[in-house]
Amino acid sequence: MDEHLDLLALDAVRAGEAPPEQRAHVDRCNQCRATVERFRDVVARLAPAAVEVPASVTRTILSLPRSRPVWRRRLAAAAAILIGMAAVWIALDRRPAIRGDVDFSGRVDIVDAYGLAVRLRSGQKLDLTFDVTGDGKVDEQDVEELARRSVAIR
Amino acid sequence: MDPRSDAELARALRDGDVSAFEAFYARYHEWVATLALRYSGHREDALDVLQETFAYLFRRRHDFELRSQMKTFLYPVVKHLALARRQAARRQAPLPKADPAAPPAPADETAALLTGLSEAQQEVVLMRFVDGLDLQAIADALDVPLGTVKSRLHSALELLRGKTPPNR
Repeated sequence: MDEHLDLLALDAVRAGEAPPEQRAHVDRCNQCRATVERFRDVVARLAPAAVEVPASVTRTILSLPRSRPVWRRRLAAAAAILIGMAAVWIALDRRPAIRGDVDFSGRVDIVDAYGLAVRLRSGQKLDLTFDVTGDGKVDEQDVEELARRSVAIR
Repeated sequence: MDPRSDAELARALRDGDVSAFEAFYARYHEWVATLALRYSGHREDALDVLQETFAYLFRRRHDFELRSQMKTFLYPVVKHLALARRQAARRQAPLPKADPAAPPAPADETAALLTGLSEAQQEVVLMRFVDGLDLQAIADALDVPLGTVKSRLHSALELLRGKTPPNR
């Protein structure tokens, strides 16, 4: 290959992208080698000063994967509310150790009568643990029985 | 330094690997900041563009496919964001008329070297000589045919050869 290389080929030599025969030509051709050197000189003169990136900017960018988007934050809030409601429901659904001790205070008093009345009014299904009259069902009579017991002289 | 290739990092990022995002940042943040400065002309704007560029990459992570070089993907993003900032700054403080898509006038020696080249030629020269992109990557990033890039670069190289003393 004795013909001089065109400018794009010479630039490819400069960039290390040229095939071996073109690189070999530049090695033995003073004119082509001089042009490649000129291009290298241009590259050096065009090199920009580096932009120093503050650590705070880097931290902000690298925290992106750890910041949750709005829809995730809303989902988390909704999940927290549901968990809270489930906890209340489970607590309300507990069975008292003492028959009639609706509020789990360890004794039967007027608060239990009120608590049972609220549960009945809400339509909550209650098992026979709350059947203080022993008639096989939980109804207003159990509320009245609890009220009666709570005010009875012991 | 993460040993994975850009293509491997792209796949890992798509699969939710946070370390791939960090590796991309480590690999390209300086280049992105420098390119952003070239188009925006202001350091603070360049840093904002840097953040916006990686935020964009992170938002796109689920459908991110690296079809060419990473710089080819990043280049139009950075250019678009930086020019948008520059135009916004211009609206606040009107300057003499200029092509809004052109990079700001470079300073000193760079300006002297690039004088006489069209804006399209300057852009190709900077992508080739400063960003180190090959011709196909330049064509991909600019979304122009490869022949157009060759033509612009060839005419630019002719001008540059004439400007550079042979024995510097």
